[in-house]
Amino acid sequence: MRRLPALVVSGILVLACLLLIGLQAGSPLLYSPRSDPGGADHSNPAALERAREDRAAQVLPLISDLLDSPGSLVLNIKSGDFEYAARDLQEYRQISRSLDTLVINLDMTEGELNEFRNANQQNLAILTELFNGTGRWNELQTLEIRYRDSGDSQMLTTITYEGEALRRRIQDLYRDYLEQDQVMRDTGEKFGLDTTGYGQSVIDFREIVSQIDRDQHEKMTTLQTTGTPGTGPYRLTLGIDRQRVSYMDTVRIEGLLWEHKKDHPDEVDLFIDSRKIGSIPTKPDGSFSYSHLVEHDREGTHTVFAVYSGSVFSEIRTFFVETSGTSLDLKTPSLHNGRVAFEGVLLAGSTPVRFAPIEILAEGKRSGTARTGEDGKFSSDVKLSPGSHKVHAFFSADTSPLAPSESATYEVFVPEPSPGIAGEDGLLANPYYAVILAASLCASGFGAFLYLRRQRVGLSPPIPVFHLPGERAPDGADNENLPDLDDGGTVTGVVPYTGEAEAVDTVPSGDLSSLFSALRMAVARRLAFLYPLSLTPRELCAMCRELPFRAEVCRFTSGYEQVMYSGASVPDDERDMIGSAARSAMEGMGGPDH
Amino acid sequence: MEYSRYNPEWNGTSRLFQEMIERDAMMVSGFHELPGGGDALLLILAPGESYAPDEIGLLRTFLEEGNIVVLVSDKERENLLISGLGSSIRIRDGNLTSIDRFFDHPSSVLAFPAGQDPLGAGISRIVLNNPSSLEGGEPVFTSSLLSWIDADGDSRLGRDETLQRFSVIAADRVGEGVLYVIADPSIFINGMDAIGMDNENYALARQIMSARPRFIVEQGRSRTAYAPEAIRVVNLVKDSTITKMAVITLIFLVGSIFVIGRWKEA
Amino acid sequence: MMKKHLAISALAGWVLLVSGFMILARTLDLEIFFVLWLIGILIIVELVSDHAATPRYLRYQRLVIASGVILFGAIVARKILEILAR
Repeated sequence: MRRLPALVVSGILVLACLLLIGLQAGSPLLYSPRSDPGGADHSNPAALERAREDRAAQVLPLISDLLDSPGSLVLNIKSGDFEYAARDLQEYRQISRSLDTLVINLDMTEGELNEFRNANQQNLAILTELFNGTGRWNELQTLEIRYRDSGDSQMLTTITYEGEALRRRIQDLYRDYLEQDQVMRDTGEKFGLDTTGYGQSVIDFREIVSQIDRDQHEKMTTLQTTGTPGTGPYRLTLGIDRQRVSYMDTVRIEGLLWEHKKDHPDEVDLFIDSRKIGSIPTKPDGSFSYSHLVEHDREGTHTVFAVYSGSVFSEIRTFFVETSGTSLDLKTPSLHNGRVAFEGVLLAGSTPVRFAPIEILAEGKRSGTARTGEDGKFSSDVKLSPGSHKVHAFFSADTSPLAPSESATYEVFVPEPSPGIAGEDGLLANPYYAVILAASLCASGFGAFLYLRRQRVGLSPPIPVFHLPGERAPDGADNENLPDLDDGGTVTGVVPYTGEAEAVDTVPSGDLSSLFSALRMAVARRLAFLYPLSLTPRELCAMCRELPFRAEVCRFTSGYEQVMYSGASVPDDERDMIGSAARSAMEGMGGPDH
Repeated sequence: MEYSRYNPEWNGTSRLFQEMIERDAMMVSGFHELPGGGDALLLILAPGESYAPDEIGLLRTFLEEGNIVVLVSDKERENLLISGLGSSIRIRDGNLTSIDRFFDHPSSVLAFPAGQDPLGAGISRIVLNNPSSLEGGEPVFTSSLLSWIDADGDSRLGRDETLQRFSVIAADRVGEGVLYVIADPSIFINGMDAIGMDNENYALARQIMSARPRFIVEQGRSRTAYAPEAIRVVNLVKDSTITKMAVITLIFLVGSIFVIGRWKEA
Repeated sequence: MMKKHLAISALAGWVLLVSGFMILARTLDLEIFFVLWLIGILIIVELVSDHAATPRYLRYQRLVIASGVILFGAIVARKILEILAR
């Protein structure tokens, strides 16, 4: 009955365990700073990572530098210090790049700072082109002097024409530069920065433009008055059907070569923006035509002239390319295999925009790119991190006369990839995972096997403890009838003949020693003693002092001691006597108890 | 639980109140208990409910006598109290976000002293935690210029969100006294202790505590006064290292008794 | 003291201790709990059954432990896959 309190205690303990676990079972992961990010009032600082502190402090100096840089750059261009200007431009480019990095790092790819960045990028492009253009302009000045001196009127005309193209380009640049003015100044003023440097750059820029205007005007006048070969009515005339064109329009350029020998095929070189775009064969009547598709022409004025045999020049014609708005349609992104598929179409009005770069942005950061096909359609598979994302597509073209456009924003949710066992698909999809799982299971299975095996080594088949040598083998029932009180000391397996038994060399004494073992086991079992193998004969005798068969046990043990340890030979009848003592002790044990 | 002085977790104010108690702060449960004399500073930290007109009247009298009242709240509800005190400061419960942040989280806005107010003396900046912004009054601490109210909640500067400085601590003279409004009670929670180079938030707290000879803390409506019994028991176990050590020792003791018992038996 | 009850109480105490600490730390993780239980039962079984004899009531315990070890292997594999999938 002493089992009851123990049982009650164990039961209470188990119940307490279950209760404690059950209390929290609803939310297994109770607490980590990350699982407790805080409410509306505050977020848990322990769950947050330290921000890199200096990055915000860089913004203002950077903007200040960017407002100052154009000033000295344009001044150097104006005064013709191209070496300094080149260095300024290099610096300017570097600072702009740091701003780009910073804006992306600060995740400010929208809003005011980004507007400033875009304006600045435009300025950088404009000033780079201004730098190159004025460089070329100065070259043309030098060349002009050389050709004038050598009287090479054809080359003179060529470079003057090129100068004309350059003049118009620089005018366009100035117009573009003014477009950025508002944003640049506003930002500067907002951050309390000095914008005089930037203002000065605009003034200097204008002076460059008017200087070039004046020079070019002069040149054109001299060119016309001094007379090129075949002045007066041009021997080569050129006409453009449309002055203002936009994306995917065709500019039809037609001309007539007056000095044409009948039936003699001729070729006329056509230049757009002083760049030769091809030689066009004339028809028998001397006319020629060319269709120019506006696709990669920047916005602004473009010059066209034709040259026949390197000496006969047409007049300069111009056409103006206007920027067209675009619309970027993005279909609802679909999710498959953990990747997000984007599809959409880019149109300029109703014309598809072909071969245009499309950016896929998630949270304003570029996460994928695509390129439109012939029909303006694009598609892209983008891998996004698990979680919710705000995605949209963005188009911005540098070389086409197209306005940048943006698609609608979609919210996509990328589910957590199901790890391990949970998702059989993911498990089988990746053979590595299956291998790892199998290997781990094999290893643990092997471990479990070893564990069982190790235990079994210790568990040799239990010896028939209660059956004396010579008696019939125990039947199963006998074993079951053994005191199986289950009160802590019941022994199932016993390591039998250890050193003790092996030390016995003679058969009779071996017989006796197994008798002793058996008796010792039986007594130990009876008394619920845990370590029967450690008992010596005398201890065995002493242990039995409260048992009814003490006398028999002690008689046996003393006889046994004599036989085993005296070394003297023992007569057979004495052996029998010892044996019978043991037997009666066993019987005494088996009898009244059962 | 949040802001509770008995809450030793990150969102409690147990550390702040420990310091207050060390400085013999006077706890009042209602404005009628406020002493006269005009040499006191009353801290109203994170009020949980609005104040009745008669309470506001008492507070206004207290303020006009030449005392200082520091109201720390990010709820627009307190505008009623502020206007009742005769101040032009208003709390705007927006999602103030800044590039100048301490943690890499939009809510972790840094604020810098503006003006020459004694409250901000010697403190280079404070770290806010989901602050609101203030209008009116004399700015004492403002966010940097690279801050905006994140109206669309995407944590990023959007097209319609403009960058500007926002006042987060403002002062206003009322009668002889001064009312300070701090637009974020979270700056004093335990989690914000020992943050920054010199623990500036708590430096500000100490500055408040020692600004006047007498330091009074409102405990009637403040959320800091919230104290369920259970939390005290938990505190006892969790907050003291000695208890933890005792528990561990006990475990080892029981374990070794068990092992020794086994060993002896063997 | 009966060994069997000692063992049961020790195991129950151990599990209680583990869950108690988990609750104090506010991280109740079933996997960790299982592993700690396995460790506990291994140690207790080892202590209860000496080199010479294993009590009868522990005979099937070995199978429980062996299956626990296999389950442990599965948990380890799961953890590895989780880390890999990250």
